[in-house]
Amino acid sequence: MIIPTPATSDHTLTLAPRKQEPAASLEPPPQAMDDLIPGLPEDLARECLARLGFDQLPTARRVSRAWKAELESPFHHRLRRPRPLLALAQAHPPHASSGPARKYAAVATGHHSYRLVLHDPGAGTWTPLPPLPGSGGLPLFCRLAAVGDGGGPATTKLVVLGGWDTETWAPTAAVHVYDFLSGAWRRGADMPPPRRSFFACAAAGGRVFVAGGHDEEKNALRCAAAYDANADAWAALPDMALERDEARGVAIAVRDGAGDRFVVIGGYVTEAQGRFAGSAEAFDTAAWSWGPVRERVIEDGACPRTCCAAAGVAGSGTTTMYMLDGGRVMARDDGAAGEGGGAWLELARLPEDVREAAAEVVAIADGRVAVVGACLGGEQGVYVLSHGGAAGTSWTRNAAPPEFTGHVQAACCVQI
Amino acid sequence: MASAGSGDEKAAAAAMITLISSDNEKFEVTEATATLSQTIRHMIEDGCTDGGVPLPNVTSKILARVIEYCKKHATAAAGEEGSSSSFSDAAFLEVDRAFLEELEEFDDAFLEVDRATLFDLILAANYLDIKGLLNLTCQKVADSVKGKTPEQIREMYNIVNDLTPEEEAEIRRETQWAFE
Repeated sequence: MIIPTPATSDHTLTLAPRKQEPAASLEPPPQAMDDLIPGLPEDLARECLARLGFDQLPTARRVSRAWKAELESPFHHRLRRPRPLLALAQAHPPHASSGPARKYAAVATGHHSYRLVLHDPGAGTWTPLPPLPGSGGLPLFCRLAAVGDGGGPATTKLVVLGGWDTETWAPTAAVHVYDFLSGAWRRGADMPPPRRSFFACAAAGGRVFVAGGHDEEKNALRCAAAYDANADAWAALPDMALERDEARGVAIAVRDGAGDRFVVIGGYVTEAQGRFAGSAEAFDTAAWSWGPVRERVIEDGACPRTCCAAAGVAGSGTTTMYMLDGGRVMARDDGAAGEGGGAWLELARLPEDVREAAAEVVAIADGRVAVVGACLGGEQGVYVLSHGGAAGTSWTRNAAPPEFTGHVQAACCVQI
Repeated sequence: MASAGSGDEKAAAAAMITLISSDNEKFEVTEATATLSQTIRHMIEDGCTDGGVPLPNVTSKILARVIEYCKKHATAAAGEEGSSSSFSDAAFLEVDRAFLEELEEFDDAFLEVDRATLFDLILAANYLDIKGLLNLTCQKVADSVKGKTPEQIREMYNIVNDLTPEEEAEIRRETQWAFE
């Protein structure tokens, strides 16, 4: 009698199928002892290391050669089954005693310094990242994007781009890269000129793209560039067809992985100050060219600030775009190539207390979208909307400890 | 639950399975409990569990713990099936939440074991192909290094530090702003 190999199940844990011995003996396979963790076979020790929290990686790398090699191997990063986390550029809480008086004082004087916080919406944890070396916190209005080492959905680096210097309020071209493996920041190559503010930004096809925004004379920009965080190098892009100040960047993944799109939505030309266009243009990262301008991707006049996109409900093979409109979360399935796409449909009403002041919207993939905004009492809350699953459409909110209730000015999804 | 020599196998319902540990202790469990193990599930499907299932590399001490886990989680699985159709019903949600909390407390208490037992549980979970238990126990190992220094981690798991001073200095340079 032969025991069949266990069928691959849809459980969260996926182990390589192991050979099964005949039922009569049920002998265990010979245990290949390894020096990762004495007493555990290598494959099981690897399963243990694959469950280390991202904030344990820098320390774990210093345990032994075998641990260091394992944590740096692509095998480990495939095994990790990355968890989606939200990276938030969040204001420090008001100083030590966080009484209401202090809080209002901080709001009144506008003295906020921002730091990066990783929020795990699944586990409800909040972890601050180490501060940027030698600076007064994150630049105001900086952009965030996360990229991997190539291959697999895991992101290993978080990139902070541009924004305004916290002291002088001058736009900065600075790029900082946080490496989740080493737990360290490094200064990246500056963004190429002109010094832009309020630009579109997103990670697509393994690179971080920036486009549009305005220069130091408040001229809306057509130019764009791409940053390769692993090579620490910038590449120029062809110009967009239109100037797009305050445009929003989103990434549209293509099912076979070739030719992810960086889509720049909305924005306005210099003469149209603040009158937003509803058009968008998509950059094909494989063909290295812009597609035609698509009209009315969002409504003309609508600010694209809350647009975001991620892989849709599991198995659908499409990218879902989201945006907020009139207290509602709207969604639209995009065509695989970022062309065409369906109509915007209402997904859910926003929870009452963030309806007026939703600050950031981040798509998490698999039918989830996070809305970060000021809730009652001015504290920031993170709501996560799940849709398309068996459970229907539902909101969950994780209560944040007081030190993680500061204003959020930028956010992105990190898979680690 | 441990029924070494409790005998009357004929009286046992068809849905009962006998597991035999390496030290020859017999454990009688329901099929619902036993089939959390994919390995045993396949044996049942193949109809080769008459006369008991010998598990020659799981001791009675560890098998008793594994069965304790499976019993609790088999109940949980049954509960989930029962309530899934009433997801929107607030009362059911409340029950679910209470049950999940209880299950979490059970898991936490279950994992309060020494390192040798934890490793034995990992090996048994792997051998019996119990995904939930394997995930739980591997996660416990990962969580146990939280807040520890590399030296403390080595001590906990008898790991020899084979990094040269130069290599250590190199890593430290890379991680000078790391979490401490």
